[in-house]
Amino acid sequence: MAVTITKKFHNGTEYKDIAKVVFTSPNFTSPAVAGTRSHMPPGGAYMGTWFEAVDWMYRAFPDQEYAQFPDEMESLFGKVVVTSLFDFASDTTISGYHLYGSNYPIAADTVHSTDGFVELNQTKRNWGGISAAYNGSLHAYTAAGLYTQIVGTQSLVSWDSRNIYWSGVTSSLNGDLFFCSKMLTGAFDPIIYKKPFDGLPIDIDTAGILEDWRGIASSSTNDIYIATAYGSIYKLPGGLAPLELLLPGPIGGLVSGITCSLNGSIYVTVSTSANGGVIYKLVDGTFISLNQAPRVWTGIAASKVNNNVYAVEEFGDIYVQIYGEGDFIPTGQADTRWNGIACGFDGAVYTCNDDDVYKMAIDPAEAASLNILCIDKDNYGVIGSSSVVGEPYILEGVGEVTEVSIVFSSTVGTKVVNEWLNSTVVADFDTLVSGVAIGDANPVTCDISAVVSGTADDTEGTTLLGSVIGSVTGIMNGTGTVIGTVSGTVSGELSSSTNDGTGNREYSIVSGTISGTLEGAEHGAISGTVSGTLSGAMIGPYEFASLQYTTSDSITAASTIPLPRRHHGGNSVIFAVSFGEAYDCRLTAWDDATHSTTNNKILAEEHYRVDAVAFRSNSAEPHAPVFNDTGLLVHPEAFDIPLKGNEKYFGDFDLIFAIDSGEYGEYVVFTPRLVNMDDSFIAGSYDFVTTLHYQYT
Amino acid sequence: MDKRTAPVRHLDSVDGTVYGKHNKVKMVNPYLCYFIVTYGDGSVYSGNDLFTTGWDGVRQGIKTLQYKLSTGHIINIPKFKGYLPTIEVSESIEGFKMFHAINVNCLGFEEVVTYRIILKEDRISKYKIGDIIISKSKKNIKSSQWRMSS
Repeated sequence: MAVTITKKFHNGTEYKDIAKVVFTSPNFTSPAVAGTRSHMPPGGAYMGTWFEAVDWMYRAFPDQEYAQFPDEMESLFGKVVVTSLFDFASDTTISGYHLYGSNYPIAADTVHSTDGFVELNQTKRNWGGISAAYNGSLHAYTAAGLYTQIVGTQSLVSWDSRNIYWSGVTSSLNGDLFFCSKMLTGAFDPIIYKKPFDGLPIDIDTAGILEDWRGIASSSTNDIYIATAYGSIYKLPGGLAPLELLLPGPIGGLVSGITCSLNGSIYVTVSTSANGGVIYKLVDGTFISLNQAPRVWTGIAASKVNNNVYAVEEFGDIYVQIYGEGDFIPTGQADTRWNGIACGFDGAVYTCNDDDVYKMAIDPAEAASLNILCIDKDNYGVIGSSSVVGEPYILEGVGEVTEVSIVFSSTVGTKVVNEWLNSTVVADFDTLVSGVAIGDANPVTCDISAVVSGTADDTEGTTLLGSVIGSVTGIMNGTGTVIGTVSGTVSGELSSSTNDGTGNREYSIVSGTISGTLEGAEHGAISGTVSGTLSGAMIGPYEFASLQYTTSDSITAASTIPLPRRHHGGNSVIFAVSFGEAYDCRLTAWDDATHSTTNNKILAEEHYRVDAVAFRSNSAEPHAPVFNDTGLLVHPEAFDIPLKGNEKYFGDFDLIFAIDSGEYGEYVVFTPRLVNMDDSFIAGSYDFVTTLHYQYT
Repeated sequence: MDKRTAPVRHLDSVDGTVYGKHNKVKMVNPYLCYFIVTYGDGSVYSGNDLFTTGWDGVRQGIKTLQYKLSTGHIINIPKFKGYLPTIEVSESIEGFKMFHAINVNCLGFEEVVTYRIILKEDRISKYKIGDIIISKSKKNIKSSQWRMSS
């Protein structure tokens, strides 16, 4: 029986037959150029990874980095931070954080309030950038959406949830807002988006100009300047099309922000370049590198009331250039991942990081008021200033629940049994909680701050949203149960079959110890120790593997390297058996088509690595094979293993074409990358081939 | 000068020479390599090529099994209880297939004897096209493609 094996990748829209894997330096952004520059070592920093199909070169997403987890990977798919020694071969307990999705866990694990800044207590998101409009309202974005401020509060709520990979926001003097987005494989085409002060949002007509926009800024004359990833500067005169190319670039490195100061100067920050991050200033039509120490600059903003210029550093400080002159000096903020900075028209300075949005406090009284006017951490409703906190209520008809305190957001005093909308419930479920018909058809948002020792069995088809802070020693299940947060010890069982209807996972956080079973259609981030069973599909676009822990290496305590990565169609090559049986399969690499030597420097020195797994999918969807059942594992996952001829390979295993209930495939998937290639690696062409070695009848 | 007509010039006994940076490999023409099975009733069944071998069309009751390579080599496999031949190939992402060997697994009384028929030769390997390497193992090869002798 012959065997048919297809080789494909997913470009975010459809499967494409892969013709070649190409590595380039990161500054190759054009598919036309990348196709001619195979296997170029970068001399440091990120690798550009491309999948070549017959029609186009597709840039793999995310880029590869040889030393650290890519930012984009972190913000969109999460990461694993292991906090204790773990050996997959022998240990059954994983301690650490498993963070992914555009929403990081809601529960704050650290406090980033710093001198001079107060936390505005926003829902914990990967805030990517921020802008303060002329009317004082804030606008911010994450990779997956735009947020605007609720008038009269400090709350930022979503107003555009498209996954457009926003990369910049600015507010002009006339009240218009402008956004730009970056170019990523599988994403929407990059756009410049305008939200007029008194009109409907529109996409700016760029007349076919398709660039990787990375920063946008408005001048005091309402001209809009947009920077591309590698330093071309475009201009929208008066915020109106047509788009004009102001400076063709490039400047060295990856642009992370742009701003215009009151005196007309244009600054551009570069996060990474050959010599580290740089701040450029446009002087007489030429970008001059300011004499700063190299830092990973992630954003820059000029004051609207003076000529101060502020810049933020990834995992560093917030810096200020006083009146636009001299060095950027640190302001002594907390060492956190600052993602953006903005200056309001009232002189306020805003910044954001992975956790929250911050405002430079003007005086202690304002700080206090900000703390009052915050939204609650779970984003389930605004706690108004007139909230009644802690007033005891005795609930009727809800089993044996006693001592409940309710905080209503807007309907104080309106207590409707079985219908608590947008409320926070602090309850002691000290005995059996059974048949609690909370909510009927209406979702109930509540926090349970207690010990659940019985069974919270919701069989009414209702929805339970919220947090469990405490221990669950019984069983919580139900057809509509959604458990947002579990912070405590779960020694029983948490199970459910649906999500909350918004695409979020059933278990958005579990922090604590799980010694029981967690199962359901979808799971969210897990922060804690899992010593029981974890089953169900993990969330992620085109994701096919749930846990990518290595079987070969121990993960050292508190180490983020090596970091298990998530596999999905956008960054992996997928070999699929579509007919027949293949025996003794092994994935490896050779110098060339002779499939006989490994003298290539990249192979000989083991710079070529893959994450790989062979499995039978439990999803029939052809573009999203899903693996999460160890019973369907064909060959264990391997993390960062070198491929080197017959010396080092991924295998051996058999692949059999299967179509069965809940079993499809089989697949070999791998994510290629190059590692440990520093400046000492001489640039050149180091072509090699990746092969699947197998037998068939 | 190649006196053959142009349309068949590429159909050589050796499929081609693959020039690498460090090695040069010659491989058989996989379209011209196939097996020949004879049965007890005198009938003969011939395979196709190395891509679609036709082995699944072989009936039980094999009397003799031999392989014919494009180079003219004829390899006769001794009598065993059963046979499971596999084609060993490596396939690159770019789509090129390198045929390494035909591994004819033969079922003995207490072991599997493998006749490895080499399909390529190069500057590194000591084996040439048509060489046979015989090995024995106790491994249990499960497959529906085993065909038993008469």
